[in-house]
Amino acid sequence: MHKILWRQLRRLQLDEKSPPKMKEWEAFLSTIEQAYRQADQDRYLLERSLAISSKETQELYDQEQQRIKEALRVSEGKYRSLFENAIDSIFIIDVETRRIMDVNQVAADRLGYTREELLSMGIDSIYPREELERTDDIIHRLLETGYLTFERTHVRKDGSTMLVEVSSIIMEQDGRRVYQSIARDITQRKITELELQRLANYDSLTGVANRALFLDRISHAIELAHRNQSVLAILFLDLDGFKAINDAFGHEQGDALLQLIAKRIQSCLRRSDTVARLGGDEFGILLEGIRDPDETVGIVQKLIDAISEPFNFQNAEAFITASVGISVYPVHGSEPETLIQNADWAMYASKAEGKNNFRFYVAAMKARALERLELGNQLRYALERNEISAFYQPQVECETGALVGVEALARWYHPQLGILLPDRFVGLAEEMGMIVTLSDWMLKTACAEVKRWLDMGLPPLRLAINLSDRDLKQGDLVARVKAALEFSQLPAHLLELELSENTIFQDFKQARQTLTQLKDLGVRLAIDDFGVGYSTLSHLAEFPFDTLKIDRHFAAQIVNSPGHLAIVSGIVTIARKLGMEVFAEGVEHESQLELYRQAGCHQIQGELFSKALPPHEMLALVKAGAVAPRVDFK
Amino acid sequence: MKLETFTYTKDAGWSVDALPALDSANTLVLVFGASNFLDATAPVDELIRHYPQSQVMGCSTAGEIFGTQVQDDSLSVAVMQFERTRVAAASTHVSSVKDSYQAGELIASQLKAPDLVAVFVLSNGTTINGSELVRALNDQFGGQVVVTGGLAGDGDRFERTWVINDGQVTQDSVAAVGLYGEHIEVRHGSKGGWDVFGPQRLVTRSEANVLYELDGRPALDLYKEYLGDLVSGLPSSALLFPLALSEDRLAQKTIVRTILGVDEDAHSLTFAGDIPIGYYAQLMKANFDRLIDGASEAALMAGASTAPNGPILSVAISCVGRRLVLNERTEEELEATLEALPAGVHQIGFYSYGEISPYASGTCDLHNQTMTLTTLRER
Repeated sequence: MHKILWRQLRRLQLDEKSPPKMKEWEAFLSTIEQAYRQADQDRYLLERSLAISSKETQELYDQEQQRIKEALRVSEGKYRSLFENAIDSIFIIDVETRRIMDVNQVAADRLGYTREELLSMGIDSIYPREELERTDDIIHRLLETGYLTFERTHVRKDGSTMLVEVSSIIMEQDGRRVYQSIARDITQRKITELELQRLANYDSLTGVANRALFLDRISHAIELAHRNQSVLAILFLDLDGFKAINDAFGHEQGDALLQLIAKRIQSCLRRSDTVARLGGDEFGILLEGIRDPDETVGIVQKLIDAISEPFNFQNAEAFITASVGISVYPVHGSEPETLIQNADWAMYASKAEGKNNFRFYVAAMKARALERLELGNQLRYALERNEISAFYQPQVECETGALVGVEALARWYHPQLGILLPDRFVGLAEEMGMIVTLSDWMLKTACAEVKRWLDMGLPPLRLAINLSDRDLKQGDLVARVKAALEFSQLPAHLLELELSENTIFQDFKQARQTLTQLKDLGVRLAIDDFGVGYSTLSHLAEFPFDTLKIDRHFAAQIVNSPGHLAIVSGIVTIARKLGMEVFAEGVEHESQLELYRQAGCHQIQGELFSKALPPHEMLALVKAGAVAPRVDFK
Repeated sequence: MKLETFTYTKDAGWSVDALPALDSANTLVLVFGASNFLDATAPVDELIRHYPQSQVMGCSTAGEIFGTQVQDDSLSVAVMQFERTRVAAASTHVSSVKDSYQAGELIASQLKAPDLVAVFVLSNGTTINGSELVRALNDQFGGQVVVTGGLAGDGDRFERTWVINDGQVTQDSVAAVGLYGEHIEVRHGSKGGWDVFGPQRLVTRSEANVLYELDGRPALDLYKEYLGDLVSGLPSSALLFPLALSEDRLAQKTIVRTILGVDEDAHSLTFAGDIPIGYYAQLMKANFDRLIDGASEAALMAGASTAPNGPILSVAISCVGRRLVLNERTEEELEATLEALPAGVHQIGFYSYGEISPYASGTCDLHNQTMTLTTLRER
């Protein structure tokens, strides 16, 4: 019996074996009907649910299909748009056959083919013949990693080539394995890279190497030299007086001259040598494969000679010289920086010793140069620390031995080095631009000192003071001398300004003008160190000199050299004829004195009478009225 | 423990000659009855008077369960006198659905004690948010106490329910009883047996337990379409299609929600628990065999751990939706539970508007469309 029927009978307390009474029968039928109805309702609900949910599910499925189709269409459209509008060439290539399956217009345009032509070609057709093997390797690696970036050369239809950077990726297309390559033309980028590299390694003005490349070349040369047990030379070349040219003509012209100089340097060298610009007017030169020092000397001399040849410049001829320092690997260092530095020291020494020359590096150069640097630093403060003092050397009458004047000479009471003579620091002062200050100080100090003696009632003495070419060039020399005279109240005729002949004849015109103005002040003028410079005798007549001082160099020579004696005699004769007094310096021996006296010199200065003395000693001498007679004057 | 179960019908009166003399401070009386006892409380009052020292708990139903039978217009009663188990009751009025959480807090605070083992809770089935009530109980007990129970029913009418609150039959109360000590053994089981079907639909508009729209369409229209000719049976016919709720499309854990009412004007459906926006809802339909298997599984879960040496009471709380679907077959699930439980177990219970029982995790939840069993015995 069905469970439901059994339960229905039980609930109505009916017996399955005997039929129910009428009232119970009705109730029984009612429950059975209820069960049937429920079954119908269940089936109705089930069928309805099934139909509706099937319909709903179908709708959802259709919507999803539509959505996927749409998404696919959009995605395909996007891809097509990217493909066609890309700025790079895009290729789809079959992995097996290497045929070009698809290609964009950009690729066709770049390669000079039509799309149709490319679609009938294999990808290898656009590679150079000698690079065909690379395709195997690239596809092999691509299949391993799925993605690859590399550089290749593409050959255009007309045979020209371009460098491209390619990104490739493996894809599926219509069941076939293909790869997509996006190729970017990097020809221009490569050119730019090379240009950047050039900019990074070369001097933009002259086109020669810059310091970075120079160091690099030296490094490599050192490696090579080390392996081959060979030698190399580093030259440090500095132009002499380039600053003056720059000041005179302006930077632009200075630059133009530097370009000419760089060319001239290169023309003296072999192709394998390196020229570099290391600073404003400094050049470095690397000479490789040197066999012996003489070979270097030959090249360097050739360089120096070539630079000193006149430059046709600004419709005129320009002259310039160079000083060169040389260091040699491995003797003078094993590091590029050290070698350059040592060559620099050698150049410095070469300059100090007269310029337009070269020097090999020796260890002492560095020490000397450093000492000079140190001294220069100290000199800067020497005046304010009252370390500079004026000494006085007596000047006497040749015939009588009477004291007629003094030459003021600077002395530096150096706290460590003791008393320093001008040859140790005047050059430095010139380099450091301090010479004018020093001259001014000497002028004022010495004028005041000599005036003091005068005020003490002592007989008037002439005061000689040295001026440098810098003093002369500085436009306000006349005003400065005037100021010193006014400050000290020293009568102008007692002051004699000494100028070396080289100084005067460098700028003839200006010098004459300045000297004339000085003369107008009433001071005396002396030409110093006469006889060793460039001046010609005829110039003497054109300048208002009162005194001519024969260079001390003659004092040593006249005793043994009749030629020198003859020259001295000639000079004295001419000077006297021109109305100048003649003065001999550096007289140390009686024999010299005698010869000068016979030649007709008026006055004499030298250790034979007295060295330069500090003010108080000089004062004592002045008071005595004469130099201690070490010689008999007639 | 001493246990007696019996029934009352209007025609036959009490099924026992005399109400069992088991009144004591340790006595728990459970009574489940039709909602129309609200109009005639005499038999309930008689019980309450007869067991003055005992804790009398009860509520209205959508069908009273007694043994393997389901009846309407009756009372199903169980009287348990514990020997070594303390019993305490707590109850409160819930004047508004908004107060549901607060009611849960209040009851839990009254029952809390270190030796509290289990709480059995009955709530009115209309002015309550069962989810909030259960959340409050979880917050208070933190999963340390077994909480079971259900929401009172009103046949298939969803209009008025009652709960006994402190000796009074009331319409708006929540009541609970706590069982204390190491001798009481409370086990539970809960199973559904419904199949989801059709597409998952996004909850696009809802407020707490009121659902307005699924996938942007009025939810009530969807139900009407599926019900077809049965639309005239709303709201109870909507019980044929409970909703399975999940947090996202692929979530394993689903919650089943039963409809409590409809609002034709707002095109909305009111459920026995929250329907959060953003959750996915899927219609469910009955599978008779699975429903009955589910009841059997619930019974196996709630069965005794060891061979019983004393009486066991099984309190069966099954969803009104199941009764509507099973209809003439309803008693099959009651037979199935008893078959799966040890011989001699007494079973009473009711068809409810919501079942309360813990998950395996220990935290309690409001279920719908399940057979939930709670078994009580003293060791």
